[in-house]
Amino acid sequence: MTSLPRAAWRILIAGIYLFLLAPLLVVLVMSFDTKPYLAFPPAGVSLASYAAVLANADFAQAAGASVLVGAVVALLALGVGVPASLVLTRPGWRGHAATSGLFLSPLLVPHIVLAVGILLVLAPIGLLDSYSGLILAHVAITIPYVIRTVSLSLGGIDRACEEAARVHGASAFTTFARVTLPLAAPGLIAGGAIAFLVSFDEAVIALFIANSHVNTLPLAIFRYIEFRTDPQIAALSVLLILGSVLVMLAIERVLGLRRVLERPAK
Amino acid sequence: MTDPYVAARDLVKRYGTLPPAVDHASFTLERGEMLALLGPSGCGKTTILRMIAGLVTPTSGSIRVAGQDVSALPVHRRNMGMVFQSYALLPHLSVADNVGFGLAMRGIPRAERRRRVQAALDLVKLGDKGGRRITQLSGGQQQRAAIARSLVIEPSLLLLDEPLSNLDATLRDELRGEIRDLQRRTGTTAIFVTHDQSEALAAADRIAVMSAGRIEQIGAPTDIFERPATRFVAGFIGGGTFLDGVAHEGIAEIPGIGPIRMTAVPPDGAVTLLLRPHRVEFVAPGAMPANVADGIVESVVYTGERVSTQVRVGEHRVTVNGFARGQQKLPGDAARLGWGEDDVVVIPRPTA
Amino acid sequence: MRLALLLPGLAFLAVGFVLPLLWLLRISLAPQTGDGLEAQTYAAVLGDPFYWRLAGNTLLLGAIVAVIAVLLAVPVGLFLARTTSRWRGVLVSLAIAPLLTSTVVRTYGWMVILSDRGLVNVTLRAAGLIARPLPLANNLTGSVIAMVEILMPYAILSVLSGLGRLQPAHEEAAALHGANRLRVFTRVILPLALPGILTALLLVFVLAISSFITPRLMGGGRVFVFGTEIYNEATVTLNWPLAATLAMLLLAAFAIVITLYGRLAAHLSNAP
Repeated sequence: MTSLPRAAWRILIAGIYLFLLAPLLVVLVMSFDTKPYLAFPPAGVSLASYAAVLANADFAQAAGASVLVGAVVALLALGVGVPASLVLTRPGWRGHAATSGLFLSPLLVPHIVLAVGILLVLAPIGLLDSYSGLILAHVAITIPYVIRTVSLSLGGIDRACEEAARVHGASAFTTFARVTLPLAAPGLIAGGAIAFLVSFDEAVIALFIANSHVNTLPLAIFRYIEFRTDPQIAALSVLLILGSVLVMLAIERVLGLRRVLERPAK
Repeated sequence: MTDPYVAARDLVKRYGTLPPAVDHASFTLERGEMLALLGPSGCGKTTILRMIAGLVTPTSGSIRVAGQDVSALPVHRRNMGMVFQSYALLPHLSVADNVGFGLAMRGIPRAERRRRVQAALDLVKLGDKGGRRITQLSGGQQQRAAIARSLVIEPSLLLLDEPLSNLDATLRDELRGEIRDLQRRTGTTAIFVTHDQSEALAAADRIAVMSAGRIEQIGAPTDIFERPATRFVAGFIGGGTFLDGVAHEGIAEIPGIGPIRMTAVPPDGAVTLLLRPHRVEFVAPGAMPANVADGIVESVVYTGERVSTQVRVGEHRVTVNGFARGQQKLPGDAARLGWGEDDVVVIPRPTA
Repeated sequence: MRLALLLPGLAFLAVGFVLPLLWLLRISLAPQTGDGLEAQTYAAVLGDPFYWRLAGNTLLLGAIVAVIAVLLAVPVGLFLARTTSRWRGVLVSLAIAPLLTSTVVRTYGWMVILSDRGLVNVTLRAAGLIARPLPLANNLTGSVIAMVEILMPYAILSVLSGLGRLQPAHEEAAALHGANRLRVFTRVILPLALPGILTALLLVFVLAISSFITPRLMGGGRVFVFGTEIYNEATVTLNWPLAATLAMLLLAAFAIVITLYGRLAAHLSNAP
């Protein structure tokens, strides 16, 4: 402990926390503003911006697309990550370390590099500015998260439970469905939630491959604030934050945020 | 002559280039018998159990149960029951659903399932706990539920993998007795694995003592204890003092003690004798036991009911166990030890 | 059987990750006309002082952001690692939860806070401390501030992980052996925290140099980093070979930094 008195220490920590949460809090406050331009403090308190946002067809479409894409990405990432995790949690075969590394490698590549690559791959096959291309890219970047959370859950299962089921008459598949899956459920839920969230919030890849057709919520906000900064966008942002927070709470409940977000120390 | 109910022949399990975990183990079991696989950790006893269950594939050897070669059968078709050290109950199912798991897998209709599950729960004294969740049961209760799960399917063979190791001492004795009782009453053939010799001696019909992948001796508890076949078995079960010497024409000569008088006849040549600690006594004044040795007390360990004393006799250290009665000896005291002719065991020479 | 379970995942990774990277390499080596592989774009870039300045800008920005972010993250990490409050879990979540909101939204928040009529300027003017608004947005300063905040949770996570081995017993033992508070800090806490701090620096640095959204929105057109340049070339100028080349160079920088870090970390863990 440094020689600072406790009170000063606490104020410092509180200040840093405030700094950390400042943009989110400010956006929240702004969303209730009545002025049509970017200024502080807000002139009044009203839900006018929210009404405007919810009535805006473009924003509604973007929000709907984001949710849909997120859901598809989550399902695909789970569908792909769960079988892979089953294999990766049982070590002892040749190539285990390499395969494990391969599945986690998207975490090591900056999204902007991948974005350019995806752009170049999609263009010649005409999938640029398409939701399929976006979904493909998002699944690739969320697979590591799903594998991590699912592996975490699978690793915590007592092997003897699966063996007991088998000895007492359950086939391999029945054991997987009636024993392994229920016991690994927290990891699956958390994995799906994280995949959804990463896709929901993702802006870089979307920016590169979207043109006139694809529109997601972060994309809509980005395009808007490049040229305008009225409170309407604050309301939209708050909805985005709200969605994220709800999913986050679900993850925290089920597995704990920290274990899910820690990046692998290289 | 009918085939034994369970016959394991020449079981071998090798992992890569390491020495085999199971090295040509063979044993048989009659219907309704309980066999204990006893040995220190790493001796291969659990591997054998898991090979019988099908969880591990033998490198070679055969296993027959009820006249059928089971090695061709997958795990879930062997009709066996298994009790694990960690209980292995499913936390997302109720106690009744756990116990009825095997019946559900066999497609038994719900009404009959419920009836048989309740009967099994009553058998293990958990009759009123069917609706509870696993986490609401204590360790001992969970293990009883696990036993019920195995018994309710009326398995051809019941396997128990160190079922008492996770329980505390008092619970262990109680449950051990209950397991033995249940096994007898239902007439279930069973094999259990343990590293605890008192468990094996108390609960099993026969014991297979194992070391480094090999079965050193199989026999009834009294046989194992009174007539150990190897030095390892003698040391692992019961322990005692080993005296090495030379025998000639029926008389064994131990350096530092002299000729030993005994009823057993040692073969000529190098010989190892065993003195069980509870068969040696401090000679009371006026007594004249068949064998006598004088020495100095080295250490005394008092555990309330008993006293364990180490006495140095020449180059030997003799362990004497007895009940704590009267004046205790102290380290440094002179001591006269005595034992009768029937109190000496000859350890057979190892066959090449 | 194993292969069957891995196949879907491998397929997605192959198409969505490996292929794009390979294609990136290929396009970066594409000549201006015709087919074949040429390193001419690389030569052009590496020979152009503009790109060296760009690289310098990017690396400098990355370094500044990393240092400040870690400086702020260490006290928080220390606090969270040692606090016994029952709110500990909540506080940890609070510190890293911002990671799961979109960068766009957080950057927008900073635009509101730092702009000429934003929170900071309005407050300072109202308090009479300044006469004219401070230029905190649409420039490098604003970018740095925003990036520091946005990347700080990663730093906090790393520091917290590193301090995971710290227990009250460590400090108590040191104190019992006669160490005063400063000594406890430098001899006990700091060495244990060092690996976590280094990881934090590395993590924030590599994330900062590949940043795009925040420099673009907060920079007001005055902040040029690799990220913004890549975006321009890929979507505006449509000079794909150039965009690919720049992306590959960024990836190379990534790889170099991570390898250096790996060596450093290995060296450190061998030291007493």
